[in-house]
Amino acid sequence: MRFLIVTTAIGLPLLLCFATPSRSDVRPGVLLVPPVTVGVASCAAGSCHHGNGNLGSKGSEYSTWIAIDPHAKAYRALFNADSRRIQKNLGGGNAHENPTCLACHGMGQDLPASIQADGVGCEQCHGPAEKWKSSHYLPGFDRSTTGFVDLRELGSRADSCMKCHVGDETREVNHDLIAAGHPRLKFEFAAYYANYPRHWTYRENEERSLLPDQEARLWVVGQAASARAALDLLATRAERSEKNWPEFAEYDCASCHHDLLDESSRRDRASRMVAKGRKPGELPWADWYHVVPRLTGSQALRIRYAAIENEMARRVPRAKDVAREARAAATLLRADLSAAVTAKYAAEQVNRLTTTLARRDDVAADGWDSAAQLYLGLAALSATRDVPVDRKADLKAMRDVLYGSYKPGARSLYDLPTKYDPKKLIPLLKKFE
Amino acid sequence: MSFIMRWKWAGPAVVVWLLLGWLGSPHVRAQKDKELAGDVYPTPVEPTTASKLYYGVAACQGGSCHDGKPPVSWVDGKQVNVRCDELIRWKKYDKHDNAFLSLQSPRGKRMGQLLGYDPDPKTWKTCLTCHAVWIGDDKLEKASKEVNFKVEEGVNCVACHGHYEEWVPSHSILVTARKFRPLSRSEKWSKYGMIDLKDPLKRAELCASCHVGNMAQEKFVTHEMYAAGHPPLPSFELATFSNEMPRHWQLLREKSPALQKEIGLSPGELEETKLLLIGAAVALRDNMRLLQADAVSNHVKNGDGLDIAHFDCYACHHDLKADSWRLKRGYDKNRKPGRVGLRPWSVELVKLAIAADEKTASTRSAEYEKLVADLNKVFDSRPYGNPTEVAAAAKKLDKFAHELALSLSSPKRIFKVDDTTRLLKAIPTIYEPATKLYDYDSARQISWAHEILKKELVRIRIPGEVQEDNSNLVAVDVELKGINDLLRLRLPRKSTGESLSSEYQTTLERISKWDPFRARSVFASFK
Repeated sequence: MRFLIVTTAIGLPLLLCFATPSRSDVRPGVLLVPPVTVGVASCAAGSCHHGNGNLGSKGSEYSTWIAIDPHAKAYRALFNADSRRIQKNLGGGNAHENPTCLACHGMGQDLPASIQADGVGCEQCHGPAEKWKSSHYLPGFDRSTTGFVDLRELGSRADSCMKCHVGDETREVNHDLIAAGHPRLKFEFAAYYANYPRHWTYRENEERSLLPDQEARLWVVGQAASARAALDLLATRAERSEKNWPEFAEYDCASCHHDLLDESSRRDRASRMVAKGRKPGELPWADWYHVVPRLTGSQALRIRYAAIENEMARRVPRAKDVAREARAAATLLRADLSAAVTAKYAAEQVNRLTTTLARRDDVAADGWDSAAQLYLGLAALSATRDVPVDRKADLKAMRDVLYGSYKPGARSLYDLPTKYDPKKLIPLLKKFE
Repeated sequence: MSFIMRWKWAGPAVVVWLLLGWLGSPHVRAQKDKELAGDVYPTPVEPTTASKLYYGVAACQGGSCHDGKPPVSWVDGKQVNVRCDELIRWKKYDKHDNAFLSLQSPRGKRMGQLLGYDPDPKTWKTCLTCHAVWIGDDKLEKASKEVNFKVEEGVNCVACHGHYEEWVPSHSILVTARKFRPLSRSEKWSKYGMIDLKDPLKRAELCASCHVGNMAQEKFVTHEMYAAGHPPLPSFELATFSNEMPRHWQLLREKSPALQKEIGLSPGELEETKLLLIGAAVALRDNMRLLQADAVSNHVKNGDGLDIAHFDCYACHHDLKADSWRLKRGYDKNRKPGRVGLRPWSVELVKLAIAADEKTASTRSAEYEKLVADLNKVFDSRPYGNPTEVAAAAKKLDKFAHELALSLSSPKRIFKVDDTTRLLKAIPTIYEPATKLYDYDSARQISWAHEILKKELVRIRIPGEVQEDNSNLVAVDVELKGINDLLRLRLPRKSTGESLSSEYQTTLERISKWDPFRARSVFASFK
């Protein structure tokens, strides 16, 4: 007995010592000085990228960007009424001087106002040009030069969008910012790509006539890239101070933000949650970035997703567990992304993906976000093959249901599609089976 | 250290882990949660000589005094001191009578399914603590059934008047009533177990236990229950809720002068004013106790956040619209966008209760504003608030509200016309309804207070009044029509089961359409 007491007396503190995490995981400091951003002016020489030729033509990259690219207006947006209101709600001051805003609406942090005023200029995607501006046009230019980002590779092109459009450890639109008045982010690479006023010409290796499966590739790559970015952001959020945890922007906006008028749809939601083994009143982890990877991803990825989903359903999810699972899932998606870039998308595979989406009326019933992702996938996949006329009509019908879910006169950046009715969308979805 | 030595640690380690595992088991957890809740809720005082027994409604029915048949004569020629139609009003109008039936309604059944409950609502303890009487003791339940206790009777007579054996026959049988009637209100409780509901503090505590919540009595509408279909619990104003049941008792001012003297009403005393103010203090106090009990519970300590039911429902539950009044309103300079605060209504009427005592009003008011600001701060400090700091801040407000309630409920504290007039006039100054923006529930609290004070002044000015003079009240109702249309100050009366749903639906519509900017013009009519 005495032995037991003595050993417990010594053992317990010792056990607690072992249970305490070691503090030896200090990372080596970053010694390199990051390359300097020089601003769009140095790219805008007439003989280089400001040829003033046809929009999108070679030599007129800057001309195209400054003329029609919304990124060129990103900084100016910080002066509009919405931005002024956001900044007021954040405690006053000027949005165009707020580093949080400039991280994405300007050229990054800690730069002079003259450069910030460019908006999202060349170097936000192509990399800070200090070390490569005077060499990148020379024959034999080393694409690994410090700062240069090689956007020819589709994966890194997608990742360059994700930094701001999904977020990363230095840039994010969190719930505090949304509550102050910023629209939520809802990025889908293939759709944005299709609508983007491109300032580059297709190179031979991605010419659409040569690569008829490019639309499917863009969609698959984009889904993996945005889900990867969203998972890394989730992990970053979980690893940070608990002052911002749990991060409400991780949840489906509509799961909380609805008035209480429509009782039957709320009860249906509760029933769906119970059917999935959840409890009524839990906050479901958001679907936007993850609904497709969860449908099309590997078994290993789905297991990680299930673990994250379970943990996120707790009122205060255990941050360590979430971070670990999210990083692991992000690693799996990184591999998926590399594979997706080089893969060929034969008609058979495109058909299989189409059917996978079309069969999921349960996903369409989950809400507008999930349904919209199904639509975007079907639209990209349908554009891959020779499109039969009726597909276009079906896609338009789906689009009408989705847009029609907003109340008349709504600003879709801010308003939620409260009138979404899955019963209208599901029959259209079925047509793609 | 040798290999053998290392294994010596295994024994104690196993013991420690087993111990930790046992401490974490659900049974121990629930027990510890209850103990922690006990820290927040003082141990209730039990009657010294009465023993527990739950009579059914039948005990008060049929040929007795509460069923519309006043006895011809009563003890020693004294007047019967009740209105004698209590049960008739109860059966006809009072929703408490339907409390259990609502569990069997389609909504109730659906809730049960979604919450994973057993099909028989008689087993739903978390519901029955408020929707009926939960005895929770087999022997006592068996004995109670012999005196006609039926869980189907919902919130029955003894749920409020006292679930004790002695007072029921003692007050109703002529022979024993002779001895019972002359007793003081406190003796009727301590010796016989009849709860003194004429004491505003006792009544406030009793009503608030369900209408606000009481963790020690396991009365708490969780967010999970709301999500499964429980209608939003409205804000709680004691004087109004008492009237709206509708009252099955007389206010003391409605009784004869002899009874007023016997039961204890000073000449010129305004009892509803007192009830309103004490109710306000108790609603906040018990809300703070609910919050503390949850915050210190083990599951929250182990990392779960506070139950979402504590938070401002409509901070999240509104449609997102670009032209929303919320965006127009912005945020108070001390609040943080994106964080969810406490359900706001319970802090409002306390300001009026503080103003009741002119001497202490300014110091108390400053202290109160600071305590509320401190609580808001720790709610905002992280999503779902910081439970430990919330518990500490709530404890201070609990103490503040408790002391306020005690000072107001002293029998010496008598409110007269001058007090009520002053408080009525103070409402525009305290609440600045023409400029400040209020949520639906808070606006309703303020409006109810305004109405209670205004009507009590109208009523008391009728000399020698026994019956209400309706013409004066009608005039007040006409004046308050705009506010009533906006906030529906009248509460629904008894109806059968699910048809109350239409009532919820119109309430939800009013909340959904609530626009505090537009409401200001209606409030400007407060004079």
